[in-house]
Amino acid sequence: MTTVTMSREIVSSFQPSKSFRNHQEGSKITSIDFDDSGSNVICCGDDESLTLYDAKSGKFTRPLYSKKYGCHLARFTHSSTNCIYASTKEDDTIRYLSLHDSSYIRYFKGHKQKVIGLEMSPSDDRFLSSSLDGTIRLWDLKSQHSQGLLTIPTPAFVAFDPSGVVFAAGCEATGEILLYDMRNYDREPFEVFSIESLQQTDNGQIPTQWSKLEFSNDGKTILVATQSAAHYLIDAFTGQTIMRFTGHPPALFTPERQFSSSGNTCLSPDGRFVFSGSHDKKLYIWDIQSPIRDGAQRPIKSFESRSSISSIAFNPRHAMLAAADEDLSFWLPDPATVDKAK
Amino acid sequence: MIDYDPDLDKSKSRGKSAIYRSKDAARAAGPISDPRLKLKPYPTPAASSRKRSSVVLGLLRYSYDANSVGPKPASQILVSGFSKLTLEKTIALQFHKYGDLERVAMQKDPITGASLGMCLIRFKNKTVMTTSKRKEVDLRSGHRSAKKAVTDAVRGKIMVGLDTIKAEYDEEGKIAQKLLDEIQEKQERAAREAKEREEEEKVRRAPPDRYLDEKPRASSFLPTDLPSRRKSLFDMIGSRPYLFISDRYVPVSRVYVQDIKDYLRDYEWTNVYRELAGFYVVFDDLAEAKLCFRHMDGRTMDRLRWRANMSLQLPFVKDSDHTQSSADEHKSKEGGPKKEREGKDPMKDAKDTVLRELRDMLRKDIKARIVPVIYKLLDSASLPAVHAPSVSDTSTTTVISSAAPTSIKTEDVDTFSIDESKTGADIVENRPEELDPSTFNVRQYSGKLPNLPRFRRRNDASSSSNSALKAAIKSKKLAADKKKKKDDKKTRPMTHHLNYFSGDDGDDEDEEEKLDPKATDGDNEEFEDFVSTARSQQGQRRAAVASDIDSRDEDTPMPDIDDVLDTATSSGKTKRKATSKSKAQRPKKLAKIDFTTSEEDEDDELADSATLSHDRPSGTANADQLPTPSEEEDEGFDSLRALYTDDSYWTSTSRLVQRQVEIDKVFDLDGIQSLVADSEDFKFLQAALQSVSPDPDIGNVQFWAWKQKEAKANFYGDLAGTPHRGATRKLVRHEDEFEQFNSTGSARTEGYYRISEADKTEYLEHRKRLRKKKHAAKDNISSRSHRINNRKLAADINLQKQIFSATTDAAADVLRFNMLKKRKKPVRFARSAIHNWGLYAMENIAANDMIIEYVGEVVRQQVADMRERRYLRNGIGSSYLFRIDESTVVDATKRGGIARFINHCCTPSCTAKIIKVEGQKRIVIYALRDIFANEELTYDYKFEREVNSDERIPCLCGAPACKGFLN
Repeated sequence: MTTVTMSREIVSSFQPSKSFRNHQEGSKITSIDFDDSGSNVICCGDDESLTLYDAKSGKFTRPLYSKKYGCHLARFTHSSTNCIYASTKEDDTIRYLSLHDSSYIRYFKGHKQKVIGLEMSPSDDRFLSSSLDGTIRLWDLKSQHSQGLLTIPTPAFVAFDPSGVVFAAGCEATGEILLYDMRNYDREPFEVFSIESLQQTDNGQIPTQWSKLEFSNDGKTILVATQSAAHYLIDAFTGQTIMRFTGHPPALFTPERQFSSSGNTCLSPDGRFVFSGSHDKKLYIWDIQSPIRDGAQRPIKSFESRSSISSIAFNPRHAMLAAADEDLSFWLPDPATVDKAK
Repeated sequence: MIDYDPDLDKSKSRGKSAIYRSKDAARAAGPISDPRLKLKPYPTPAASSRKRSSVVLGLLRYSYDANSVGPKPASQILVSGFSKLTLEKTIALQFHKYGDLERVAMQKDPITGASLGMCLIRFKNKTVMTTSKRKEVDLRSGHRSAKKAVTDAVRGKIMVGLDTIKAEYDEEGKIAQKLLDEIQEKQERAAREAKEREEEEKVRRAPPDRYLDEKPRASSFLPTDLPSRRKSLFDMIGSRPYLFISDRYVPVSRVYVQDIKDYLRDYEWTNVYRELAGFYVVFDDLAEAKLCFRHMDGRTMDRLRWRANMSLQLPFVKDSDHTQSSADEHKSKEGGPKKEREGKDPMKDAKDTVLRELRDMLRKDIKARIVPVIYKLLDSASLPAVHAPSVSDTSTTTVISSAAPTSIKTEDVDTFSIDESKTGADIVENRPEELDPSTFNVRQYSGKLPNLPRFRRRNDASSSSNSALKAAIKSKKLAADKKKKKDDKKTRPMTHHLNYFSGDDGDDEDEEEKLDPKATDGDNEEFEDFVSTARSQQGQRRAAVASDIDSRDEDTPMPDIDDVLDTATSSGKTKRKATSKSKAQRPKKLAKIDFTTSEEDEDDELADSATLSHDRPSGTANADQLPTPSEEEDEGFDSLRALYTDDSYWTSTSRLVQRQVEIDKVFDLDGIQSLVADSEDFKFLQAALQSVSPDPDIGNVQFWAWKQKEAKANFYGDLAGTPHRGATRKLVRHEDEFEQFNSTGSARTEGYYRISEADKTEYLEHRKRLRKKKHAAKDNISSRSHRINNRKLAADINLQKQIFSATTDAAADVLRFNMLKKRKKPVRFARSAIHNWGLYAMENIAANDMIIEYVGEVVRQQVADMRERRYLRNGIGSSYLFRIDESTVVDATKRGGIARFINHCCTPSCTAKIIKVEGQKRIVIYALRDIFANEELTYDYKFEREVNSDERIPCLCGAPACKGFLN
């Protein structure tokens, strides 16, 4: 396999290479996820369908329909033929779907309201789900029983650290990140970061809405993506705000959206670059290593996209980015730049 | 946190519901610390984990398809660098090998429409079948082709004509457009400038003619603001001669001095000055200046852009020499390279060359056209008046053919002698006959061409009938000329003819003499001399032949038969002896040989021509006297006899000849003998042959006869595989009846010998049948006509369908039912060799044609099982159950069509297909191959294989590949 070393040049040369519109006209893609090998992509659309793509060849594989239950936050398990996703209709069950025969393996029942976060543990078959009902549940793919229940005061975002020994729950209302030990998470968090910058309200009124919580792959930092004009990088051990990423427009408040997207911001696998899509049809890139000016990182580059971007995910194995809103686009570095870099 | 999960705990010891840890129990576990701190190193994601940090990532390249974003991979290329005269087709041909071309667009000048030497080629995208069996346009295939083409072009591999082609991607045609724009702009600019210049000229009132006068006039149009410079220029030029190239022809603004210098690099100019009015090329030497002017005036420079019209300005001292010759602007031919100019005037050179060539051509023409005519005249100029004295002078005047033809019908007997150079002269009498031109012409070869045998007139013998002879010669020569015109040219180039003369010793003489009709004889003599070497051999042979003819044994029956034949073939007027005729034919054949000079082929040719040209009606017994010359020198003219006598001839010259000699031509002595039935016949024969003297060559008559018979027997032996003795019989072979010819009349006396396979087909029963079938197949309906019929039928049905659909549903059902029925082939059932009844085709059936439907009751599996048992119980041994699928069986035992009679065969002629008609599964028998009428139809029953040997049904199909059992 030919490889490419992630560098500023390469990242700056990203360009849309494929564009798909396999969901219903007018519907939006609400989540994107790659499997562990980075060769498959699964997307959820608010038209109650899931779509599968081959990331390696850049081809649409097939659609799957979940008309009865709706779908959101589809995540590959460690197998690329299985996925879990949250229902949006009927109940709030999490469904474990076998993709190759389109049959459900298991239902995970427990949440009383919409699931807003679903994360697979990077190390084992357990996964976390957070819901608007103020609970975070831990599940095991092998068991229909919730492995653990955590009640927090406000809806939270969840994220696993790269080792899968710790998970973070972010409460946007309080501006706190709670770190839990996976083995003792029925107890209090072993660490609570109260992030002042996130507690500050924009214009002093509305608390900052978060959109994503993500550990960097080196485990040292946590990215807090918000819908305001800044994203934050938090030290995963101390809870200090390392840097602020600005220069992009704040997300629009879109009441017609049924559910929040799985996050319009992501980190590159090396943790150096932050990608963020926005509704102004642009993709912004920040480089963590570039110098900070005025206490904030400015995007090193912003790309024109064909459509607005509400969800974004970086391929864990390949230099490839998937961004979606109404359509799904696969971004690749410019071949000429890659050749030059070699 | 869960304490016990029944799904995960295999023992399930603690019940069916999950048990969670209580808060207190959790708290009891002690204080919690950051688990990450205990992990060293941290983080430690699994290798397969998606949370693994990595700077080096896989590189993906997506192939272009319908979903791709961004520019399409270029499938169009811009080709340039070829001649502007190249056609689109030529380019297309060159690039076709890289892929199918969608478009080849030669870029043309938008104004003139002339080619610009650029071409846009777009490669077609192929349509491919995807893995899911969908047709899809491979959007990259065109690009791949383009890429190959470009790569090859970069390597300089593509040539059109002599030019190596450049190729580059130009998907949108932008590059081509850019170049076009450039050219257009250039043209516009040129036009604008021309206009400006024109206006300038107008202002300056430029001299109307292109030549400038000397100073006063030149200065008149110069801008007034440059007098000093102008002056200084002429000061510089001084009294030297110079060439002036006006700005009108070569724009000063666009051409540099260096260009002019380059242009005139071959001439020793002193300096070149650039002025507003034009260029001044100053020479030191007047001669050089003149030379330069003569050569370069009016020539185009800079790739045909400018026509460098010059004017030669001589120093005004020598005003009289001034050349102002617009009239003598001479466009001399593009001469040799300029470097050869030294000491030579290209124009003179060209003139010389042209003159030389003209002279050569003229010479050639004279040689090719006039000389032959003259020669002809000379040749035929052996007119009596002129020729007569010369004949008497030279003893070696040639008389070319023995059968000297005359248009004058004379009853006189012209006597010609055959001048046998070695042996003495034998006079052969020849009656002049009225010959048709064709034979006449053929004979003339002998006289006209080298390598030919000739008959020379003997002086003394011909003296009496000189005038007649002359007339004969004359007419012959005329004819020869005519003939030459017709044939000689074709067979032999004129140059040969001429070379022949020029190659001779008396070359010059010859050419001169041709003009003189009197010199003909000498001419002819030389002709003959030239021939002599080639002739000598032939002459010898001919001599032998002639002597043989004369010394023929009168005893043999041969001459008589010959005579008979001759009278039969020759016209009534001809009263020649057969020998003379054959002799007359001889030169003709030799003449043929002359065109194939190869000595080796000679004999073959002779034999060939002999066999081919003599289609004599075989009379009673066919003692054909073919005047075939023998191979050996010492063999006689009656070599045919020797031919059959001498076995060695046939064996040694085992060439095509042998095969071509027809059976009838073999000298059948037995046949002749069998004609003489009794003593009375013999008496008559003796009387008839009284005048014939025996051939001394034959010698012992008994031995000779035996030899003849043996030769014939061997001949047939070669032909038929069995030596044939006795009188020749026609080998009649009947269609049905095979007749083995036995020389003894009984196969039993023949002993054992192998009968060829082909012969066996004649009488072995099964092969006869096979042969008949083959014959039948030929005139049978081909599968093509079958298709046509089927098509007609289909159209018919469609028509009916339309009619019916307009009426009722019931009618449509009837039609549907009929559709299958109508395609049915005529078949009948009869006793079968395979199993008691069988189905036979009544007409020839083409492969893949539907034959018949297997009709029966459609029953369920259970019913079928029950019925089968019942049938067995009732003693119906044959099973007529046909399975459609797992649950359905067609039972044709009690109610069913005749398709049930079709037997099994391991190499079947038909196959049973289950097709769906109107949603119902039907069994239809189709022909696997072409089936002939009356052939039994078979198909593979495809029974499941039984392991139990008791239940296995033996197969009696008798096919070569029979498996032995049905199941």
